[in-house]
Amino acid sequence: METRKILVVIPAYREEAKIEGVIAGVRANVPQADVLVIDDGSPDETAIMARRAGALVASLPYNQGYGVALQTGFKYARRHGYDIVVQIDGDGQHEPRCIADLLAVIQSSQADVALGSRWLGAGDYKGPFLRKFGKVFFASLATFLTDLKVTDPTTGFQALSKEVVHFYCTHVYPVDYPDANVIIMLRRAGFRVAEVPVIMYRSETGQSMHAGILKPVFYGMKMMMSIAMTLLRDDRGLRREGPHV
Amino acid sequence: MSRPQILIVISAVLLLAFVLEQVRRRRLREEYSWIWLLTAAGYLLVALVPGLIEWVSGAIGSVRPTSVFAFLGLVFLFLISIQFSVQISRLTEQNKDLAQQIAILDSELGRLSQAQAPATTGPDNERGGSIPAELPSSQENAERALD
Repeated sequence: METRKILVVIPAYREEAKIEGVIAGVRANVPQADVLVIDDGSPDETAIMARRAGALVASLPYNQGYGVALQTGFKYARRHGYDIVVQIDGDGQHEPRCIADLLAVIQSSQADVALGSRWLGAGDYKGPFLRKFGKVFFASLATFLTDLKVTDPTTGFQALSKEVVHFYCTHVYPVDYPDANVIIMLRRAGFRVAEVPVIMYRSETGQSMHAGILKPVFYGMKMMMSIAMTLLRDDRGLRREGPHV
Repeated sequence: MSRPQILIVISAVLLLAFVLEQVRRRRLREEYSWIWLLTAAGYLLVALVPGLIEWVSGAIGSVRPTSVFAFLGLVFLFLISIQFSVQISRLTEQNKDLAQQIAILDSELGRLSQAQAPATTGPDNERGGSIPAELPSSQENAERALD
């Protein structure tokens, strides 16, 4: 069996308390993989704690958001010839034991992207109402616009094949909010996408990117525009072109 | 519809279409397109909703309805200029941070290259066990910074 180079990318902002645990969990479950923490300009000791836990760390000089941090990880993976990238959040919400399930889909070539969905029965994740409504809406929209059954469009728990990683290194990657719009973009570019049941935990502090009333509304508007633009664009050509970093 | 109204509607639609096309082509980032889209939408609203333009001109204080469009245009120009200034300020700060990091990484890279040069013993090896462990990530960061 061929050994493929796997990189686990962990975007992290202000996670000095949790990052060591996340890294330990990843290393215990995927010992053959390299672990890269992208410190998104954290003002605390996230980078130091990550290094101490044995991970590679790339620190961005200032905070630019989840999508930029992730893309930094993709660019690193491309530069160093990794075959598979696993994305997992740095706050401990994603169960590292499920990484193997995501990897299995990519390694067996069932799909180019394995999306870890918290709604497929593994675990009993329950979220706040307004966010749930938004997720159901965008999940339905993504399902309608692709030929997939999408249940968790905003999942940050994924495994990606090399070709997808290279695709994401180009300017197609929507760094603002890489959610349902990315799934639609992947399908339009001809990639195979599969959902995999995974376990997720709610963040204890309750802080998330989409707290409150106004933020979800703005998110919804931006996502609708991004989806509309995705439908109007034709990014298939970028699959064949080399990435321009 | 009066002639000014028709002109406003046509201009607003053209502006809308132009901005959306720039976003579609990725020449204009979605996040910076909103103020232009809202402005075009605002113009359309004022031009098309009956009585709205009269209400606005009354609210401003007896001006001709057609002057309302000019006034709104000025307001928009102020707002967009302020947005530009804010963005430029942020970019300047980020630019400074990037330049400083490059300077520091460049210096460290130079030091590492020297340390790896064959002739030396002694002082370079006294820096302690942490250097070998750090080498990969510092080098990657330096390589990345030179992109």
